[in-house]
Amino acid sequence: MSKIYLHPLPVRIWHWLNAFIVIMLFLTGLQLRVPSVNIFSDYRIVVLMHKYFGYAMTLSFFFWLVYYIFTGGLIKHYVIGIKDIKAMPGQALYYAYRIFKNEKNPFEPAFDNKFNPLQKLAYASVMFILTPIIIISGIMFSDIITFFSWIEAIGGIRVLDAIHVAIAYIFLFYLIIHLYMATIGKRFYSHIKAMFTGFED
Amino acid sequence: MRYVTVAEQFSVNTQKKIKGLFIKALIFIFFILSPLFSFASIPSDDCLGCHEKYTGFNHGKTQCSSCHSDIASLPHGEKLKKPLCKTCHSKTEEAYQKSIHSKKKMNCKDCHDVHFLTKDKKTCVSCHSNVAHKRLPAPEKHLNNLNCLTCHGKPRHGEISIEINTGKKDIIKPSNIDKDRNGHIDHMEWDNMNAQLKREIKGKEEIKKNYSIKIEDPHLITKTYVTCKECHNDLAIFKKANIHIKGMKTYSIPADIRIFIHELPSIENYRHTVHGKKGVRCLDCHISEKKISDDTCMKCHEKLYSIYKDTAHSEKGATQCTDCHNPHLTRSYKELTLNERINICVRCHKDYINKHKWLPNTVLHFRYLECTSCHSPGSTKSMLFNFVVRDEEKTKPIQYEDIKDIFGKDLTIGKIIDRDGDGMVYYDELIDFFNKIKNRLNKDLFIKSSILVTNPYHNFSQKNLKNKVCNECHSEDARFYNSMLISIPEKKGMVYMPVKKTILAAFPTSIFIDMCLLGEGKIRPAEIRAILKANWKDKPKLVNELGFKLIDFIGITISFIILGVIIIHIILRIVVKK
Repeated sequence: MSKIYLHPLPVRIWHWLNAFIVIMLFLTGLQLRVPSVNIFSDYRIVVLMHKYFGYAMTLSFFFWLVYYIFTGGLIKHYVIGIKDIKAMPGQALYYAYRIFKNEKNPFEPAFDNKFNPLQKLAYASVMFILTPIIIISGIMFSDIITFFSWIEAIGGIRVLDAIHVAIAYIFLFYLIIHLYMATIGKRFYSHIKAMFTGFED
Repeated sequence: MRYVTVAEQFSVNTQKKIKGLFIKALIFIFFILSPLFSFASIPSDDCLGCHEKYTGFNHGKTQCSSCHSDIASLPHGEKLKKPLCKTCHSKTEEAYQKSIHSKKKMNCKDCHDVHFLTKDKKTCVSCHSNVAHKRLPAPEKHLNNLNCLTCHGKPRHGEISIEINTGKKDIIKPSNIDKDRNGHIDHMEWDNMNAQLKREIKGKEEIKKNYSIKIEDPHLITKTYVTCKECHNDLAIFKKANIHIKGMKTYSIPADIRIFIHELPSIENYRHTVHGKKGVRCLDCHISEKKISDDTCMKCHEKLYSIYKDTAHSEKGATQCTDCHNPHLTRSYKELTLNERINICVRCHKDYINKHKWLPNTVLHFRYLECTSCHSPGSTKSMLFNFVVRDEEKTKPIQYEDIKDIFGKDLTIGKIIDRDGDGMVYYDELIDFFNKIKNRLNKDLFIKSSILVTNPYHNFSQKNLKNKVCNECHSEDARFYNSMLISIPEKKGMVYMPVKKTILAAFPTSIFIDMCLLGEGKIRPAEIRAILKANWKDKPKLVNELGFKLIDFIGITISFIILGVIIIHIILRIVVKK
């Protein structure tokens, strides 16, 4: 059985760091929205934690962007081509039906092309659409007075809040699916192990 | 079409040439004769040969004969005409004729030495030394900063410029004094800046106030002088104030003129105050020449004073009723805007922003709260909504006068908003009313939200609220959600009317653009059940009222659906594998 090198070290570090940041943002965000959920004792600290983890996520996003631009991975891994679109029904059918019959995954990951078409769709929309929007709306929240004229232009603080929270929910859907999909490799820990060692069985 | 013949064309050309030659000849003759014209006036040096005492005379560029114009040749006759200043200074003369000095038969020479204008120049003080100014309040302040003409002349336009020199330190930057970043310093921001200077360089800054003024004509001094009201109430003289901060870099920023010129009580304004409206007469309080004390206020406000007298403010003896309340400007707390309320406390507690640094988003909190929202636990707090119009970054609450014509005369605005007459304003009622007046006023109208005291209790001494949890406000159980009011301008003054809490989240909310509290409230199963049980007719209204809370409902529902699908997926994998 050959091992494929999928995740270079910087990507692995970024992944776990980002995972930690996102989880902290979820927890603090949950307490901010529903104060009766008492995860951290001081609400004031929760406000500051959410703010600074938000800044951390901004930095982490730019690290990811710059890293992939310089290594050329941005186009290889994230841009969806006609070939990918054609392969999407097959991939969907695999997850919905063929997987139960223990058939082989139609997609073979390689160092130069590590995401299947559905993964590409999911990751590209998260990284290119959702993350930038949640970061921008979060930055607008970080200093409401300065950005007030912008906030007003989109319809007020409540609309900004709605955008921020709606995207957070989409992140939550993504996270649930992501966590489950991480367990459907060759063995249930294969993908997770790969994110630590870099090698996929 | 008529063509011009060759002969006609020739005659037109010749005429033009002759005209040109004539003009050229005139210019030539003027140049040839010009030395003769200059020789016609007598050079001043010739005069000074005899009139030695005028050697070095100075009156602009004039020569002796410019004023002594009846001298045609030298030597001149003995009797000469008296030169008239108005020959040149006709405008000044015109203004001077109206002045009190002219009426007292003074002439130009009484103040100006016409031959030596700069020598022994006379000023107001040359004649009017040590004028007592007995009737002028705060004479030192007025006389040190203003020149005589500010009050006794005809001032046209004045400007106050404040120069603050902080030495080599860059303590004050526009971003940290202009807290609300509207490019304009108001009273609170000015107080806060002073507190900052006091704290950081211990008052070693230099503050120069310069009251510069443009005068219509300094010769026009009449008996009537500027009244206090013109300057202090009508702001007729000083109209602008600018603050110049000099540290490492120099910044300039415009400021509210009212910081430097306070409003004076006037009978006219007094009639509109609470005291005036309730028929309190001057003599009810001013029974002697003595300054009024708390005893005077207590005559009517005894019950209130009994609460206040045991509080820290009163016990320290530092504050009397009049320290916070100006009895001549007293307005009902319903009429006071949030900033005006904060301003009362900030007159003493200047450093309030820094004292609240523990509070995240300090400045933002003070956009929605007044000091007593927290520091007076005994008072009733409400979430209050006001109709405001924004005009060049400044917001102004709407008054009855602004909207009375929209709905016809003598109507109760409250009844117009509350269409169904149940005494409660619902989101659709409010939005209808809002759109109606917005269209008619054609102004930048919105609803300002704040959390204010709506029933004051005169104990403001609660301190050290740091230990208090944020969740007293940032929670759906916050007390002010039980008292949500809209302030409606009626003929008799502002009136509060209760509003349904759902107006906050209901679609569309673009009229409450500035209100969304963290932890405001989550969707409840009861609300979902109500929608499910309701008739199809009522469903849209209920969904609309839930408004932005639906995001949570949709989000949580989808999350559960995804979890369900995953569980089915896992089960199928296990079952089929076997």
